[in-house]
Amino acid sequence: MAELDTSRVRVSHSPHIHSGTKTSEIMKGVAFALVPAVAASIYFFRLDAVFPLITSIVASVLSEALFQKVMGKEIDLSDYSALVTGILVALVLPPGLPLFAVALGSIFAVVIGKQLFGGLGKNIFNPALIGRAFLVAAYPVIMTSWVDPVGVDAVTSATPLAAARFDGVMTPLWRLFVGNISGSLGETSALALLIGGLYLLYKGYADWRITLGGFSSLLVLSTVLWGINPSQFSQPLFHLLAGGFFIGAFFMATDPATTPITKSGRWIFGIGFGVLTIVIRTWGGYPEGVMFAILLMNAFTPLINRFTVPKPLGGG
Amino acid sequence: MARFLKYKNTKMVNIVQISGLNLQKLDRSKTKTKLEKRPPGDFVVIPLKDGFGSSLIPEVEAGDRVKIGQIIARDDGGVSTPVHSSVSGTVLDVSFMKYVHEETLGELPDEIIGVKVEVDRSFWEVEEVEEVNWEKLAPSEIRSSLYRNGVTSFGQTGIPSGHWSSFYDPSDVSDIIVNAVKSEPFTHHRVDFEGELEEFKHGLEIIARGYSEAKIHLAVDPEVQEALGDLSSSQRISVRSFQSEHPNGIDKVLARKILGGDQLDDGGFLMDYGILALDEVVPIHAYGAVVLDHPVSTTRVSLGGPEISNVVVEVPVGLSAGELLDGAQGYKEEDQVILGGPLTGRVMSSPEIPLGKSIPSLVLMKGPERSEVLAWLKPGSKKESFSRAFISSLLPNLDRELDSGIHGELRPCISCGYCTEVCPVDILPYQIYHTGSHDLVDEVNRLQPQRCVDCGLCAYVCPSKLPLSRVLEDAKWNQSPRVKNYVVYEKGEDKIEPSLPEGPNDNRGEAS
Repeated sequence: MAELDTSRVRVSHSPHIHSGTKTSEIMKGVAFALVPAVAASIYFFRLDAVFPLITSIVASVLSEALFQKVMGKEIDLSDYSALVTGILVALVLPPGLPLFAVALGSIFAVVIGKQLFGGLGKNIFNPALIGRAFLVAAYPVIMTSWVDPVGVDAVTSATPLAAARFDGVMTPLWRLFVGNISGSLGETSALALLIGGLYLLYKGYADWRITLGGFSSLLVLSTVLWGINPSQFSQPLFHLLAGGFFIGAFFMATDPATTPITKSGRWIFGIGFGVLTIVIRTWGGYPEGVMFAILLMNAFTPLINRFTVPKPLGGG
Repeated sequence: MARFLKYKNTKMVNIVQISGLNLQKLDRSKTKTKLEKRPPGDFVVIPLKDGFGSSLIPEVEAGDRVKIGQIIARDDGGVSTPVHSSVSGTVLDVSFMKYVHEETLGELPDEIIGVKVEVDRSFWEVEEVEEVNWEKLAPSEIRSSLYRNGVTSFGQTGIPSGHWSSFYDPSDVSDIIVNAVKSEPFTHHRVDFEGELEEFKHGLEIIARGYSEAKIHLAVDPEVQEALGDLSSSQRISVRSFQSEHPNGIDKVLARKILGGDQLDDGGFLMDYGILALDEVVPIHAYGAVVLDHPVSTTRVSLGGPEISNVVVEVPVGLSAGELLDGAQGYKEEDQVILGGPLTGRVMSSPEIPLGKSIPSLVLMKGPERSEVLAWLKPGSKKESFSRAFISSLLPNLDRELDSGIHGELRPCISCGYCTEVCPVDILPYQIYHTGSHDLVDEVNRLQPQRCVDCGLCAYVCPSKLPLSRVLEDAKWNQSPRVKNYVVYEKGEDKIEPSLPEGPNDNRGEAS
């Protein structure tokens, strides 16, 4: 009988096969799902989209590597999470934002929003939204200067939500859906986000419970309000298509690291996200409520996790 | 009951969603069981503890002649089952040997006595015996026959026989589940349900007669059901059909599905609830034991793997695994040999492990040392992997490698929730991992890790390649999971050696 070279044999724990899913693959999948939105933003805003995107990606990847270097960690960019953060930061910023602000936002997102918490998977808040929240607080004026998508001349105009909120002007729904409106780079075209979002759900990279919970609670609450007083409250489809709700519901609220892990917890997260969005949009100080709705729900995530531990099979 | 109904929705659907693959697809070789018989080589090493029970004291010593079927060790005072010689020949040696734990298949250090018997081929024939009409036997006589012939060592807690074969009494048994569901890839039915159908059916009836108070549930997968046909001869035997999808083949999962989950509320033995789970080979053994008075002296091992031809081999108890593998087609020396299935089994560390009743299957896979060249170029973006990461093989001095054959880098948990999605008993592997890594033992216990059925699916789907099933196993035994110790380890280090306190015979004496 042939002798086995036992030095090569490792005693290891089961399972001995693996499904082949990889963190980096999930991240790449998210980046891939953002391609339609990126393409739409470039189509509508041309160079006002291209430069922020490049700046944001470069800044976030470099700051991730630099931070890891400074902290004495192994430099590891192969999980692609910095790339995703970079794209998302650019997509939630107004087009034509000064590039130093874009870079500052993505550096803040990566360093404060993610790495200071311990890196990938340990952050409490969605990094891209942390970056945006920082810019909103630091540069309120340039963060609310919007340009119209048509043509490259910077024409300042209000976003559909601000127009509805402050001037009572309604933007046609079909324009909201296709994206020919002013607003952040990535939130203009609901259609492009829908394509990418459905891909995410199909691949299982985003949890459908959060998305569905967000959509349904937003629609239900806004329908109730609209039913009560159509002249005071915006109609449900407008809430759905305007602003950042699509990018929030598909790409931000579904970031696994900052959302609950339990199935019921994810329903709660999604529903809370939809409700808070309407509440902030209707009664809050900002015309857009998606960002703070998600950040607030992020803060509740550990609590939701704790109280939604499922009853294990066989009672408890 | 509501919980039970919910549970029936197969969780495999979720895996398909998550990773785009189905474990069953992996196993392209699924064929009808073909039994091959393998005669012993020059000698066998018979472990004196096989299956459930305590290690026995040998009744033979070096130089003794033994006959096939002769009892070579017994202990009527302790909880045990007699062990029979599987060959005829001369005892060469009685000494401690390596063997495996009967349930986890984890390797035990040299603490079990083995009897090495040199095979005498001139002394080989089995005597013809007269068939016993089992229908005339009383239940206690049937159980005695099962005990005498070594059938009772099977299962997690042995088979209660009224003798000291189990901690439980035969009257404790209220349900018997005969598990004929094969759900793990590369493992096969060890009963030829076409050729041995009569024996199998008789064996079931015999068991039903031996435990006249108990209900018999035969759990089958579609393959068996097809061969089985109609089995309505006995009122007390009910057949339940399950898909051959992991983790359906696990006893505890079947018990929950058949009997409802509500009564099985902790991680104890199924027998605590009066449930006796039997492997599909037990009816065959019971038939041999009761009708032919044949002791269990052979064992059936299913041999499978992605690159070898898949067979079920009947070998005398005590043939070494290495001897069996030598004859296997497609077996390569550097292959990793797994005792049990690829999702739940253990890697065999030594080819000298004798094949006993406790080892149902061997699965051969590419070892972690064998990196696939250009594996990432192969078609199909989603495929199971057995080799080390492509990057790791490019960067040999990265000084980091991964446990078992898991492909890719270990990464932090991103809370993707795949593990909770696939968990068949609805516990939260991720939460247990997190709280465990902070030594929050009470918090870990709150999450009830003892309910884990060791299916391994959480680690199978984890995109961060976390050793979740291992964490759960630690947590199950109310230990603080040793997460930190084995997440990343240096090359060449023996990473599963527990850090025991230093003994008194160190250099400390010299220093003082």
